[in-house]
Amino acid sequence: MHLTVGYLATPTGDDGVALASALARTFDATVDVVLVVREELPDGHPGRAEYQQWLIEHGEQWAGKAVAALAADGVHATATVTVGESFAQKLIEFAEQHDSDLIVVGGARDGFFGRHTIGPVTGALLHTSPIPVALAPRGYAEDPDESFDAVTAAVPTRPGEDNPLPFALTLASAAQLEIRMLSLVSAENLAEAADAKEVRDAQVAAAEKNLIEAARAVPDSPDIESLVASGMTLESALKKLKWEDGDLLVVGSARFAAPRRIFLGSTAARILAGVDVPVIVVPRA
Amino acid sequence: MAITDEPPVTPAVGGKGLQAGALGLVGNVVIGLAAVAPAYSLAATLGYVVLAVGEKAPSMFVLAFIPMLLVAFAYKELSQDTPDCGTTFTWGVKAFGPWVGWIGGWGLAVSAIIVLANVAEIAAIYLFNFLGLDALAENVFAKVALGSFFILAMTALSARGIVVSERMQNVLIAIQFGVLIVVSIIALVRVFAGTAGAQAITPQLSWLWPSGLDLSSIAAAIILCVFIYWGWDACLAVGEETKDPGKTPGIAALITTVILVCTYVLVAYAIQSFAGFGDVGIGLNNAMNTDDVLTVLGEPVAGSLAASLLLLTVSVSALSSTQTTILPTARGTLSMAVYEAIPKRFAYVHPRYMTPAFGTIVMGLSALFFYLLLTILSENALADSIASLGLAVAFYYGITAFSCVWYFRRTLFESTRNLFFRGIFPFLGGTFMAVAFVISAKDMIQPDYGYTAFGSLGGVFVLGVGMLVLGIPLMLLCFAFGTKRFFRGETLNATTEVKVPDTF
Repeated sequence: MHLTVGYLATPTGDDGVALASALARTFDATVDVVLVVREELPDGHPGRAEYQQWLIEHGEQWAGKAVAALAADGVHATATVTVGESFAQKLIEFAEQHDSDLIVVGGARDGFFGRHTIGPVTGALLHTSPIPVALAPRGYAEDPDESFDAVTAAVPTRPGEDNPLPFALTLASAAQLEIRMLSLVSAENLAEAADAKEVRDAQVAAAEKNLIEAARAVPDSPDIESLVASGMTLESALKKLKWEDGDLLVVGSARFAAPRRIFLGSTAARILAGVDVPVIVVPRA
Repeated sequence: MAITDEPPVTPAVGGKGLQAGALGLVGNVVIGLAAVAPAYSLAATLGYVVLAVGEKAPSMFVLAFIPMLLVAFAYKELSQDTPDCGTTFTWGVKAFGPWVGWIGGWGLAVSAIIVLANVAEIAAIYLFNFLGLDALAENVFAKVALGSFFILAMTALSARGIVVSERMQNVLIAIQFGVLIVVSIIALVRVFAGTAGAQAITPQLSWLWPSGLDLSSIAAAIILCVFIYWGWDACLAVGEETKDPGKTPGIAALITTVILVCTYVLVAYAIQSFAGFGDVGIGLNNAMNTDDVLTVLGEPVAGSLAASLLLLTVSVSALSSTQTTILPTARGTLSMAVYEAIPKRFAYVHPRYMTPAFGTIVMGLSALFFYLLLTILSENALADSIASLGLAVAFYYGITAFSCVWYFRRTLFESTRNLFFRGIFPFLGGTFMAVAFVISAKDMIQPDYGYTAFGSLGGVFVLGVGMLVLGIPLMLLCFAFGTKRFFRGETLNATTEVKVPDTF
């Protein structure tokens, strides 16, 4: 397994590196740290090439810090510094060139609500990447996981939406992790239900359908826990979930995503805003 | 897992690396014009040039171009040999040693600080006028508040690395020249058609010939016009970025020269013919008009739409000119810090925005401080800041020109080209600048020069020369508290190879 980590010498970058470290140790992956240096355009003053070179040297120093942090955790990583206008675009290019399995980044640090905030780079990644993107919650570097124990797949309750379950099962089998399916049921998608009993019945039906689905997908899979979280709104349903250290969440893309690309739909975005664990977003099949 | 002891891995540098897309002819021309900020420069100085030399202002625009051209040759030669962000600082050190080079770099920083204050003032005034809030444009508190906001905003944008895109630059330049030329032509057409009003006078060819002027007036006008052409060296100094470094910069220089000189002369003619030299109404000898004669060319000439367009053009020109001032100067101070001439803090690069954030913010705060000081002390902040800016620019242009001659002294006789472009032309340009500087400084000592006086000294002298002289104690402080390696010539001297990567 190969990870591409997008890094800047900021707390966000440190979060991404911490997540990469945990993932690398869980899946025994090779890691490439990519740092994109700002492109300096000519502006009428001499010395631009020299200044660009100085920036690249700074970039190399910064990337070296990330490599050292990973080495301290026992993960071998190589660093690459490129010059470009768009961080996200360069990351995706690099990951495609090296056949990466995952792009790992930290999230923005200045959001108000929830620990996952989508800044400009993450936003670009989460709407164009052909490779799954792993997001570290804010402050992850301060309290990182050593490795992961369980994978949770947020399975859609409506058919036709993209199902991250196959990818989650691949991950789980790669490192013998527990796997759990999560159905989020809220009153929003039960417009026809007349009263509470109907809501509850619908929830149980949804959970059972998912279990059957999983069993069909992997005949000799380990015990798959199936969990239904329900609430009046998606946010209140999410609040009832208990996450532990070593949990990893996998969500899919919106159904109108371009084929084989990620497009963070509104539901997935709300899930991101409502959980504290690292999240992997999977492209549409 | 064991921690492996590995030697530090050198990261691979991939992607485009060092070469940004090469400039074509149009890109080169636009960079040259954008660096000059024509609408803003004209708005700031035209009134004062007319005040100094009366109707001969067009001749001054032509005359003042000559020393700028000569100094630009020095820029071309030096930047080809040593393409370093430190420009005047680096070249001064290599030619004359650390002390002169330091002061040259200081001259650069001072001119950036002064121009920021001036930009803030002009942008504030013209924006208020554009919005129709003429009362606020006269109100000191409102002006200073908006001006300070502009300084902080431009500094913050530069520190974050937000720059105007190339396409936007093209649009801004087209608008600036478009508006200036169209309105000037309308004015002249009206003058010749006789519909300009009683104050209009017939344009004379003699306005192009600087006869009947005394040396002091010429020197004062040239110092002002230095500001109008300031930045033009960008055409020649970025030769290394151009697709065809042998031919394109030269052609671009020619094109920009023609465009600039012709536009300035055209505008001067249009204003002088239309407004006349009466001292009432829009006449140019009316003291109330000196600050913004350009707007004379607005409403009376072509109606309120043109007036609004002109005001907005000047305001936007002023603000966008900070782009070619703040970040490049911050890169210059970064270069000085790398060579240990100033504290290492100035070499700090922000890990996310990748700009010399510390240097940028220091410059912004200094400009803010200077702007407030100027407002408190000066009778007419605009006039005084322009004149002192001209002094600072003449100062470091002179150093650059003489550095060229002295640095290349051993190669001067290798070819005729070297003799002229590295020796004679820069020497003449430097002399021109030095003479203009000395004569103006001498005149500025008189308290009745300009608008402000500090007791028995002229205000502009105190501001202009004072700011430059302030560099000396600062330099001594850097020497006292720094590593001293720079001042001993260990980090940078005539033989230091500036690290230029092989890209071409």
